[in-house]
Amino acid sequence: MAAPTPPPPAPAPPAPSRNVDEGYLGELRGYLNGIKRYPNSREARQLKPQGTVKVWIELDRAGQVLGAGIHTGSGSLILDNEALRTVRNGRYPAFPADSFTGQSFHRFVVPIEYLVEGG
Amino acid sequence: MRTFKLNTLALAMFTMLGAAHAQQTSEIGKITVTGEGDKLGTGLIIDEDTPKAKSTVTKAQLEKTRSSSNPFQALALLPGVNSTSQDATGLFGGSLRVRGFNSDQMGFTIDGAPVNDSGSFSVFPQEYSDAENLCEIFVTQGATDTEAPHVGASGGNVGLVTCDPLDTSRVRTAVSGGQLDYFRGFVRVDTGKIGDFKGFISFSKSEVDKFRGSGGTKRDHVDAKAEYDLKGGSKLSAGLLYNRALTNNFRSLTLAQVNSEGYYADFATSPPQHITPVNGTAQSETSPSNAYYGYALNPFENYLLTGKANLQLSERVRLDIEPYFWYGYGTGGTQQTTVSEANFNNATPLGSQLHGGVADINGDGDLLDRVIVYRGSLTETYRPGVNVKLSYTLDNNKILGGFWYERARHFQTQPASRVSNSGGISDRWLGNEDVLLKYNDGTEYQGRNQHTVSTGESVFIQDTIDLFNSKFQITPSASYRKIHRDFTNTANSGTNAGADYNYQRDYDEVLPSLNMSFQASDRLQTFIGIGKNFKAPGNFEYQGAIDNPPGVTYTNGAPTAYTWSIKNKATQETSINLDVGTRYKGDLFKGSVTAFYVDFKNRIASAFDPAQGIRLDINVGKSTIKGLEVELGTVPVYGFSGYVSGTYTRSTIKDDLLVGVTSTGQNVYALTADKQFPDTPKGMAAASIQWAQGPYLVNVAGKFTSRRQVTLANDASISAFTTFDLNAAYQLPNGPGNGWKNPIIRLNVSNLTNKQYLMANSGSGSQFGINTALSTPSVYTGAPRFASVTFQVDY
Repeated sequence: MAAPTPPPPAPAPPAPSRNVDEGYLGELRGYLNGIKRYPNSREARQLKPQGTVKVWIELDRAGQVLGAGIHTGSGSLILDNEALRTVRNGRYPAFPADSFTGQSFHRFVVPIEYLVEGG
Repeated sequence: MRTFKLNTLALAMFTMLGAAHAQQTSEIGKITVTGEGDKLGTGLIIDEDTPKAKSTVTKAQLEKTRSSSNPFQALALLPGVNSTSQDATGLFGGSLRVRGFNSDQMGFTIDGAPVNDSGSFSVFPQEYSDAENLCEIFVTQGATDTEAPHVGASGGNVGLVTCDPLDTSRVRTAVSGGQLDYFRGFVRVDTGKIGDFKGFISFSKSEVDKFRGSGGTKRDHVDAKAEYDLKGGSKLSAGLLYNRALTNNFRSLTLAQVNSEGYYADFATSPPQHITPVNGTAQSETSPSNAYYGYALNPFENYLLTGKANLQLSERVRLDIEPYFWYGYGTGGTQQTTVSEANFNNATPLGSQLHGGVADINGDGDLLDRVIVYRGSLTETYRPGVNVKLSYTLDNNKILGGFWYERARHFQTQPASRVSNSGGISDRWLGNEDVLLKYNDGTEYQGRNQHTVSTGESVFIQDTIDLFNSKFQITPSASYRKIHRDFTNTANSGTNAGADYNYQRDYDEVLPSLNMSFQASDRLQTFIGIGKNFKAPGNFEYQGAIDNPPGVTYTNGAPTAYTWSIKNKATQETSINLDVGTRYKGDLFKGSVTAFYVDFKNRIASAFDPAQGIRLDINVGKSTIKGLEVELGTVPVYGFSGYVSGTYTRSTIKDDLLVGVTSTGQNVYALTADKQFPDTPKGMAAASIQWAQGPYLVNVAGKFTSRRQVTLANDASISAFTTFDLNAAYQLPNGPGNGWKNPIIRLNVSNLTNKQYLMANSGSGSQFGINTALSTPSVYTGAPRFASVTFQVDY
């Protein structure tokens, strides 16, 4: 009995779609870089917390925010709240037609690192 | 077996779900935010979303201006701020008004610890942290922050935030030189991270001559900070600020004196001469009206210790415990005066005078003389306190509660020291009892001798509620603030102060506030905030309470018969502050527009009390402040960035002030109704333009200040003026290997056009004259052009 023919390799995802996905991710990164900021409450300015908050945000294809939350906290509620505020308040672009195909919504995860410059 | 099958099925389904989930999740990539956010070139504006007016100066601005600058100067370009400095370096202090509130009506903190004088609420900016160690200075123009530890702030608050120690070790040195023999040396050593510890200590030495008259100032200053990271968002830290300065004051001038004696008129340059003492002969010396510059001194030493335990108790609960201790010692003003020995123009037996009257001053063996001396109003303050804050986050609510407690002991005396014909002073710090003047029973002479224990307390609670995905935020809060004054006068030689008395009084107020903001888009925010503030009167209200007549009867040098009553009955002033504003944050610029309205009740001002027939600090009733503040800053474009601010302020007293009663019983009023409050310019505008490219930086800043009134009746005023400052810097290449780094040479020029201008002498919010008929207003002249160069390098 001849050895079974190995199944043909799975077709690679269509390159244009992945590029479009990457392009959209880059767009989001650029946008969040534009609206990011260090928290400016009196408490934040005195405590000057540092750390990384991993937040998630779920967008529908029109770019509307469906939900957002903390994936991994920083240990500082000030930073966690600021990161959440940042992603919740965004106005995001709609998905390009050929990106995230077949998905009515998509979840994005972003680590936001807060640093304080010393004197 | 069944279990195995079920588990296998569950695992398979979980894997499929996980795969589906993974398919719909993407990582965007790390975003990094630094403490200053996306830096604006000028350092005069930051992203702000506090639901009330607030402006901030950041390190980007502080590090390009002259290092000796004080916080009043640093705030000068911000909206609402009218600040002046006695000289260009900032080492002599100055004045600050925001929306017409004087600095003693505002709350000042360094890293959260209050630094207003505990008795008078005065602020002395030249004593505070070196500019190199400050990361930002903020001002809330209207309502005081709920958690801020103040009982003397009917206006807003100002906060100095010092920089944390660096993570990497570094030694920074800077040396400056300039006109008027300006010299400043600075060194700061950072340990870098040693395990979970890091710290720094810095020392600076500054000196400069006055631009008018003789004398100058010398200042030694230490800042230090240490932090221990407890991990998990908790840390312990401690700070030290030490300052010691010996300063010759500038002379304040009347408007007539500026015209007759000139812009550069100052104190006399030669000391007054004593009459040769002769035993048995009454020598009566007279202190010249213009004092000797060496007897108009401000020697002052202070330190501030702060501790902080910032503890993240759980994911939702945070506890901050912040104790502090302030110490201050020194004198100020003009010390040249005369003191009379026991029997000068006085045949009263020694036993019938306080402590037997003043002993022999000039050493001629008699008690017949009046002699020129150096007598200073000495203040010594011990001020421990603590702030405790607990925050709890629950869903969309962040609840912050806490309390503040402090017990300040304030010793205010007025000893006197002998002076020589060459201008020598036996003890300019007035602390050496061996050489100070005595009474005939050996007790130390005092022209003032009072002790005030001021116990300040507040409890507060605030809830920050996020609604609609943080688009709408509402922050209701309330605080209860109280100060208890326990004032003890010990018999002394001051006016109506020759016997002991103790007076205690409480001032308290519940201060609610409500602030709301609406994030219309990620670029546009609108806010509205309303809050109540209060300021207790200063402890000086209780001085000189002995009734005269009949005065005091002394037996064997001790007061035995007298009555006393507090003449000043001023109650606390309160204000309701309303801010309505909008902020815009675009790609190229960000800015804000704020309209404000302040309804003042019981504003404290110098006025006539018909019940007692004398003029006192009393509550003068209603007044209002309204206006508009605008600020706008750009991001750098081809290296260019800019900042502008504008302020319109209308600050008026509602009614005419009663100033006396005629012999026929008719009330006499000064026409103060609807007049602008003194030293409150109606218009101010500021601009800062900067070019920074590679190693080069050039910055020019200008400030326009409109005409300012100097009496409540607006019958005297000082002209509008505009000044420009230039800051330029060049960063040289680093040294070879790991040698010196970041070498920078910086040029700072103040008052570029050498403009001559006048500044109001506004030592206190209440101490303006009513009109020129009742008192002559005084002013200071503005500092001329001044240039200095700084070289800074790291190792």
